[in-house]
Amino acid sequence: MNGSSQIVGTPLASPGSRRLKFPLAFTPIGFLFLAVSVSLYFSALTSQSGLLLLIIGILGGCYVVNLSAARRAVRHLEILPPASAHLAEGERLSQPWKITNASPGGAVGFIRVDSPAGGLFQIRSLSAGGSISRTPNLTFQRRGVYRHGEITITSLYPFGLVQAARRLPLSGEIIVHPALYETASPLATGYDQMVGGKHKGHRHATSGAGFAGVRPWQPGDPLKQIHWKSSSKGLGLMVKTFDEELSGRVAVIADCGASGDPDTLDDCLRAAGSLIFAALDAGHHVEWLDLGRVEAQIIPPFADGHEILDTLARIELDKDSLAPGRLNRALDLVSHKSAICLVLTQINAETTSRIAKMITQRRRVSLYLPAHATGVVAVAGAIVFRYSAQDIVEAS
Amino acid sequence: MKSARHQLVLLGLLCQGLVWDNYWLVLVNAALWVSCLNFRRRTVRLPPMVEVAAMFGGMLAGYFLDLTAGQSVHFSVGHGVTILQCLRLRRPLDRREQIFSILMALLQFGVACTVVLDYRFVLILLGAMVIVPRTLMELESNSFLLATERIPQPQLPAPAGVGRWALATVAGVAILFFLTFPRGFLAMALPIAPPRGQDGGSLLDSVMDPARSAAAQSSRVLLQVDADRLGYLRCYALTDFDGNQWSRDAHSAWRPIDYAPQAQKENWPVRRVRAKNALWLGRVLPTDGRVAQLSGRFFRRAFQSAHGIVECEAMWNTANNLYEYRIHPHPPLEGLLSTRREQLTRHPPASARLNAWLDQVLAGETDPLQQARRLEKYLQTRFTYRLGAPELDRLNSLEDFLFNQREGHCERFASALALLLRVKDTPTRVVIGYLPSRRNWISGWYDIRFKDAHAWIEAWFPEHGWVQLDATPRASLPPSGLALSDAMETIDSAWYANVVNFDTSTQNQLLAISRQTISATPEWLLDHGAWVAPLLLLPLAIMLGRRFRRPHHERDTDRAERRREVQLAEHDYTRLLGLLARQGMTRRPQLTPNEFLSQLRQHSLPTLADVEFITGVFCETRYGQQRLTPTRQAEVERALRRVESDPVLKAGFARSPNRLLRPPGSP
Repeated sequence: MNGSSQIVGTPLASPGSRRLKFPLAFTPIGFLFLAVSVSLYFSALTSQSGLLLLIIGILGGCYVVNLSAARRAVRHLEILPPASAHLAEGERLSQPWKITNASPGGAVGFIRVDSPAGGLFQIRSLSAGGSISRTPNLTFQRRGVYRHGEITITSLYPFGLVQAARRLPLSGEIIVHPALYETASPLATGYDQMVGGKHKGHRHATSGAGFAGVRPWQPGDPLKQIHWKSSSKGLGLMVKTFDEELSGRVAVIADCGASGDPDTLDDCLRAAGSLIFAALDAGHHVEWLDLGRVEAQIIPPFADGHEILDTLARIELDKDSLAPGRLNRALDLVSHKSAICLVLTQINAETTSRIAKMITQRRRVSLYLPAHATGVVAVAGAIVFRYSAQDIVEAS
Repeated sequence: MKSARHQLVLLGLLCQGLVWDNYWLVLVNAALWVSCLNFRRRTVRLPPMVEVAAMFGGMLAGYFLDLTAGQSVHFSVGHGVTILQCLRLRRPLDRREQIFSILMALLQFGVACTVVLDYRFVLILLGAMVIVPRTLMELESNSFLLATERIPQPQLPAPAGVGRWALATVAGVAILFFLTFPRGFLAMALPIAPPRGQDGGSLLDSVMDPARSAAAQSSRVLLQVDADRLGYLRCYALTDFDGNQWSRDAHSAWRPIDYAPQAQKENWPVRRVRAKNALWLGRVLPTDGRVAQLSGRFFRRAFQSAHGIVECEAMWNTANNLYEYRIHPHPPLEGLLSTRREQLTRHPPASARLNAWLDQVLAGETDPLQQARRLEKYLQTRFTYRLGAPELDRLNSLEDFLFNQREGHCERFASALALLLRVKDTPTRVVIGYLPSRRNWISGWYDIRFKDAHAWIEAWFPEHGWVQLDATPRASLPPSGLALSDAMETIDSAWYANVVNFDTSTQNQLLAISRQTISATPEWLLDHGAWVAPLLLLPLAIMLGRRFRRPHHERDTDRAERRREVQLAEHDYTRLLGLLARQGMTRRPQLTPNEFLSQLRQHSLPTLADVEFITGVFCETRYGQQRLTPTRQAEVERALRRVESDPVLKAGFARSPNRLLRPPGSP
């Protein structure tokens, strides 16, 4: 989570500090009846009497009442959301929000609570001093960080002609992670011994999960390694040996939307996240970089990856992420032993040449490109995969 | 009365009915509305094109109906809309159709605003002030209904109806808007249909032979006059008598009204007159006295005849035919030219019998004015007023009247007195007009009705000028009207004067008065602050006190009521759980009502619908703040009884008490 706020594209000075563009506005029905009023006025000009003005007056009275009541509603409504919530794309919030009408004057109603992701819930009516708990029924379709400070409350009470809106001074946020999917672990290199590593080496080690046999004791072997059962047979002290457990290294480098298409970026980040978690599940070390920030994060095998998810949720579109030098700088930050997984939204000549250079350095490079980049089958000897919103397949 | 939208549709239909000048169409439309809603159980959903075709069919039928009934064919569009609205009453509408329906009702209401200008509009307006806000609220409320699931989320109750304060604000804004919004009538005054039937008689017809037409004795108000003391309203001066009939002076010169300087006439008597229908006036503006100022908006270029009659070049009907004039309180003596004198003393030769009768009646009186008074009194006291008296002898009508019939209506008395004075060489003229008989006891205005048409004479005396003489016996004049009609006329007058005819000039006057009042208020408050301040502060203190006290009181009452309802809902739900538990279904403590219900749903429970209903009501009341009305509670009670008395359920549970709690598919 360190420095995560730096990568949010539109950082807020403080929650709720941004003002709404139109705190008071006509609704479509309001515009319609306004047009009706104008036409009635023109009819009144050609009428014998001004009685038509009374109809306009009735509608005008409705506007006035609506304006006043809607303003009162949004001013006195208080919302108490959970401090923060984590969920994946396509999921709903599960915790209830408490809404209270603090108005001493009367009931409020026709309230809509919206976040930048969409409408959270609607409240038809709430009596004076009353409160209610509602669970938002919004399905968050896109990853991102939705701050409570950007939640707006809108009321059309009571006639739906005018709407009053207010941005609530709330703290907290809803973090929507990319929806990850199961995929094959990327190829890893630079296998090192590691307790718990899922890959078996050719050598034996003094610790591990798979018992390989015994060998004579050598100076320096810890006493707890002695295999007492075989030592008792009179051949001297024997120590236990285990299969060597190895863990590979994978560096996942993601482009932050050089193509400029936010949907492709979301697919890219889903693919990157899925690859990272597949690698972690396969027991590899993962080095993670995004070309927007170019800061390496090293994640040990079997980590829960929460921080990665948080980072993936907060990444914003950066068209310059494939700018000259960024990829080089990122590659300088990762281990020379690691296999490189480049998850890109598009590919350019500089990237191609850099991949070619890595191939000549005998580095293992996998290139992940969007599914719509069908023309690209192989890039300078690297293995090319194509990712979509829900899977990754090898380019054929 | 169904929903607010239905009520608005009804209002529109009634407005459409009122465009006909009778109540037949109103009744038909109301009957259509009632029948469409009452037969609504079977929803009739016609294709849109059929509905549109029906609307155009309705327009076509309305066109011919209007032609047949002698009404304007422009209203046939509204008839088509009526058909469409009625068809759509028979099925539920989506939001867009609801909006369209509201707009159509407003259209019909708008048409009524331009056609129905009388007190019926007040009723329509009051209805609209209540129904339009309610309809808009209902429209919005419907769009806020949550998508109902099998067991809905706690549904919040529909908001309470439009509050009294909201309605008062709507009414206040409507009135304020009406008073202050800039206006300018671009249209020419539209002609109003002339009165139909027998009311088409003119004033002269009415006076000359009131028994001839019903208009003469009609109580219909022709004029309303606001004045302190109103004299005879003069309309025509008849100067020439041909031995049988009186006629107007065809060669009389017209002159402009001799307006007096403004400063001089400030305290002169002023009269405000409203004519119900300009067509009844025949270009004549009835006035009393010598007019010194005249203004009005339904006529053009008013002149005054040599006999003081005010007539205008052209006249038309407006929504409110109002004119105002001032009269000279002490008009100077008018001279009389010799030619005019000769004209006004011209009479058929008097017979010896008539002269003898005159001598006898006058009894040696030589002063012309006293002679006139004596003759006036003689006719008033010795003769009888009667409508429909037999026709007089055409050869010598005067003597026939004086010596034989001795009865008749006002014109005969006026004619007789004028001729008798002419015999005595006094210039006279017969004047036709109205005799203000009584004031409206509510408004204080004089209601001049058709039956107030009258004839009298004016005689000229060198020392006194023109003097009015009325020989008609007063005691036998027709009685005055009813008090109820006074009230109706007052409302009618106030409505037309202050609402229908509220125009830019009146608006400017109102604004000027408001400005003056506002500018004078601080000074007035300084002068009267000693007693005004307590009067203002006391209600303010009461209002503030209530503001701080009322919410607690209301909240406490509301909370107590709410607690009671929640307890009731919990009680019912506990009863349900008890019934289910007795039959082997126990709700585990960690299960929410909906989760427990989900478990029950996995099995074929015969009374599952009732269980769902009771659970739903419990959730809505306990968690959703929905009110538990007595009706709803009765429904819950019935559902509980059904659950309790279901024999199939009992038998099933008796055999396998825990069957329903096992997951599906388990043995």
